[in-house]
Amino acid sequence: MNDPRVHVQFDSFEAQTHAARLGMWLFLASEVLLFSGLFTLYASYRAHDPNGFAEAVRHSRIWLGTAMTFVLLTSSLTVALAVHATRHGRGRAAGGWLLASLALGVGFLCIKGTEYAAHVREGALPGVHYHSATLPDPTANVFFTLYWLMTGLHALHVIGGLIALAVCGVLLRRGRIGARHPTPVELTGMYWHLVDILWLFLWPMLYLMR
Amino acid sequence: MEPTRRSYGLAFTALIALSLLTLGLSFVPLGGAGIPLALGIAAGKAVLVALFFMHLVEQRAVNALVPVVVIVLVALFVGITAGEVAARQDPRDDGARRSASEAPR
Repeated sequence: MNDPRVHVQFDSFEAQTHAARLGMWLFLASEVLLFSGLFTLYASYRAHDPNGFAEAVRHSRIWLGTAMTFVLLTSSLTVALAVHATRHGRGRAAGGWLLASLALGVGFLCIKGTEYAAHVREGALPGVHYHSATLPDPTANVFFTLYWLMTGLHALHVIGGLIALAVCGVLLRRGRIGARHPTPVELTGMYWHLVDILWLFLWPMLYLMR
Repeated sequence: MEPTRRSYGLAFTALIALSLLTLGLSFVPLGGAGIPLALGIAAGKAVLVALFFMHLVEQRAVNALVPVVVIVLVALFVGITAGEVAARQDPRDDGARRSASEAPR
């Protein structure tokens, strides 16, 4: 078989694509394990002082958090549609969906920035820099330290995902990605959906569980 | 079978609905059931994202082994560590558990 897309070590294009997807799942698994360290800290400190944690959660901005959830869920839909359009050779539609995803991702970061600014004004900073007057409890200090770490690490992942989506857009325009080469968009999409899944857990943990 | 655009739309609608449910429930005093319920719904949403948006439904079954094993490992990690913290007892008194906010400072 002489499919020029297939590298020498693979029997077929399908085998090559499967290897790429499995490799991506393994990478995503390592990302989940990275976040699980922070999740474990959250669970342990919450088990140590459930009332203090609940009080701190009551001070988070539930509507900003909810808005971010809906923005990310929508961006997952637009990314899935971008992948679908790429597979079916609809390059212009794919480009449009990628652009929409980028806009939604940037929107998420803007909302997050607004929220961070509010916390800075209140003195709800991580670690030794914490000096909130409304929530002087040491447990609230722990909560907000975890909040900054978890949402900060997540925001870095959002930025990385946006860069990857933008690169896909460029390659799509140049014809390097398309119906015959959809795998890069597919893998980038998988990464973006993980970013969404992580937020689906961060949202209840940091905003809802009062 | 590649998910159709309709499948994506349905999955998205379900995700929004489950999110609204979680939001609504957070205003209801549910006691100890609140946390497992919120995280359980989140897990359900994650399954929807993984199956449809991440294309697990169309990929080879062995790919699903990776997220399943990771979930088991994370559950062990979080569960045992936090469980140990939750089970700690203060040796100074009769062994009754107290939250740190009630403990003498």
